[in-house]
Amino acid sequence: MDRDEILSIYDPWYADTYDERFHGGDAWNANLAAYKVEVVGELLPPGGRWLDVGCGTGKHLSAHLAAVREGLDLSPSMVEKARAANPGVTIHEGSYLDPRPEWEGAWDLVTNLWLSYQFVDSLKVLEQAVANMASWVAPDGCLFMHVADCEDVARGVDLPWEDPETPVFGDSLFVTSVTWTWKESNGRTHHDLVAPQLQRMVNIVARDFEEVEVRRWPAIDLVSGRPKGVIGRKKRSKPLTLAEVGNAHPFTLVYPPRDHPGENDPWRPGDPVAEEQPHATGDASVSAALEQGLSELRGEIGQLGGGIGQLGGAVGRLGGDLGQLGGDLGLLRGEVGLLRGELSNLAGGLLPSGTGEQYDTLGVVHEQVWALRKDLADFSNAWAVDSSPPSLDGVATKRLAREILGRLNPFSRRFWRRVRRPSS
Amino acid sequence: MRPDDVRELYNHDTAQTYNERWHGDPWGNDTLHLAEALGRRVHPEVRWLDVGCGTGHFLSRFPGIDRAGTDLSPSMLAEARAANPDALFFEEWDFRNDNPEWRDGFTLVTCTGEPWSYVETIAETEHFVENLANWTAPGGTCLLAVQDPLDLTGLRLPYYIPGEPGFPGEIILKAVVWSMSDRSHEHVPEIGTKWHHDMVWPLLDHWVALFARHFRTIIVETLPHDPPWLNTPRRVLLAKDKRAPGNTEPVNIIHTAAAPAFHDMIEPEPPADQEPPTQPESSPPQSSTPVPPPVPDVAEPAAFVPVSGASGRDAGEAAPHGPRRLRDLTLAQLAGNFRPWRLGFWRSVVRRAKSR
Repeated sequence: MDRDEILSIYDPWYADTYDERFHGGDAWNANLAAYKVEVVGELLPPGGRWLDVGCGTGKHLSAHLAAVREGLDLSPSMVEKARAANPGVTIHEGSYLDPRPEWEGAWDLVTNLWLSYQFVDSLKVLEQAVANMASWVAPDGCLFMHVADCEDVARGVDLPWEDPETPVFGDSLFVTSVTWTWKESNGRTHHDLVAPQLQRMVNIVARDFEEVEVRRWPAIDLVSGRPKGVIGRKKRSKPLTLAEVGNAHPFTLVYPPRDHPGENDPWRPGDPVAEEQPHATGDASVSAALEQGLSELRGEIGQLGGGIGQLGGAVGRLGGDLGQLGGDLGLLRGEVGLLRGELSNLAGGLLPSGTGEQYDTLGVVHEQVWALRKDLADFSNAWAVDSSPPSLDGVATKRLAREILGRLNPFSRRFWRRVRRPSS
Repeated sequence: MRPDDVRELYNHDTAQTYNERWHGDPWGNDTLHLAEALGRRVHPEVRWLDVGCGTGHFLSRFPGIDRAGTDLSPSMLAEARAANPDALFFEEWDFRNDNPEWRDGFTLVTCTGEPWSYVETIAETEHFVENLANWTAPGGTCLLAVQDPLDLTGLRLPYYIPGEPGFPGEIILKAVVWSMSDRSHEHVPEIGTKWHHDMVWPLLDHWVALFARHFRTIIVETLPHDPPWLNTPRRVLLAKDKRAPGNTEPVNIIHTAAAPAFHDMIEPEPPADQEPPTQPESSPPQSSTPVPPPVPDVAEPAAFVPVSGASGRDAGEAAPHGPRRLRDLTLAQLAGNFRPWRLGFWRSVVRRAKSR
């Protein structure tokens, strides 16, 4: 989107109503904003200098009053709101693509907190924007961006970063971004936003920073997903090119602590401590992860009985997701937690809640086996030489099975008994 | 990608080996099916522009037709000129830019080989579609070879997404952008792994939406893909009934499938005067496959009637490559057509046995 298009969206009316729409009572947005401010506090040294790029109405800037805070935004209307909300704080008007030599290395923390990095035409422009923001970071400072990729835009669609099974040109295919358009219900349309895949975003940030961390938000419920942010630390003295960074720069994946007040996912993945993200993309690791996830799922289905009543409320939000659940094992990758929630809701919908009745899977299997045995008996009866009625005791079934197998088995005499010899 | 990057990618070396690599694949019949899809639209009165023509392979299959090609890479165009000495012109042109000389100039505008993915932004894709529409004459046809990301990789992406928490309203997922690495020149140290960076790959639904701005009839034709365990389905998008300026009538979208390619193996009926006098009386009549009359593409509904066993040419017009006979097929094509689970395979076996 070019500058005029962006300004036509973020006009005075939009700026006036922005806070009530995106910082209102919505639990999802409240969780998003609260954790952003929390991470900023974690990254900002006492009395440090904080620049919020794309600060909007300055809602985030109105925290951490001890720090030196400044903002940057493209839209004059939003800048006006931010100035009114943060008296004494300098809010600059301009683009993150503008060169600002006076800011080189001047900020302990540069943040981009509401996806404004996606208002670019292409990934190349995005790389320029990130490089520009990174150049403003002090040598011991860091960069923090809230990011969204396909997983957040199309909830539940988890694109792989590398797809070695589609060798169009004889080698791998790397999904780098998706292009999406957001039509708000009030008619404002954000055209052709560029949402890079998480790994691509990590690679871009890794051009300027040695350490990259991906921070997941606490989950407010089982189905809304976890937003994520990218943090760059240890600024490089000289930026690398993307080719030097490589295809998959390693990053640290950090979840909020288990006892975080916003955390509402009893089956959260990961540990309170940081865990290394595995990067091997071979089949073995993927299938091992799937195996592990499946075995965890199997174990937890048994535990479902007691907690079903609590989960009833979320059933309605699942909507059509269950249909996708069917055969699509791709969904399982990485989002085991989400799937757990869906499965438990499924069970909650099937069972009468509160009765404590166990869903006897074995009973269903027994019925199936019984029906199969009956079919087998009927079938063999039609073939059998004697016309005795089908009985389902073990001896008779074995006999009938032997009869059938014998007729199908070319190594048995029964098979050849019926074959007519050619008469000369 | 920027034009210079594309020219560098499709340089002299690439152009030299391009046909062998992409049109000489012994196991892929994609080229064959695409040529057939084109052949159903190419008739003697056509004036044809192939956008992103590359080495002009498809143009060279239809000699004697008024045809022209445009491409970004001069090396590829040199190959195209050599393969098509009788073409109208070959011009180096970036399809993102409109060419006023070509406005309404061609009754058939085609684009095969997915050159549209070498753009920087989805807005450039929109300009590309606009230009294709501009260059198509009123009443003409625009044919684009497309592949949905789902076809290519199995990534099932939704086009329309109702609002999400944080994004109230609605979301349109227009395209996926991917990079592909190419190790075909890895043994040459100064080239190494080549990268096709950040190719913009719109979803099939988005292609339809883009063409619907300029055309009133959109036909998405799924080509046969065989052998099915090696190939992914390919589609051609046909746009017809170009809109007059200001025309906002609803679009008519048709999804159809081309006939299976099995008819490649069936020999055409010999002319009536050379036909052997009688078939044996005992043969059941239903075992001989009737070849339907060829359907010219001029008539509108003919395009989406599945055509089997006919190339779509006029009956009197000889196919440029002559009748296709079994002995002309390469071993690989034969192997590709060895599909005993298809009824047509056995039909043709019976036919061949009886004609001996």
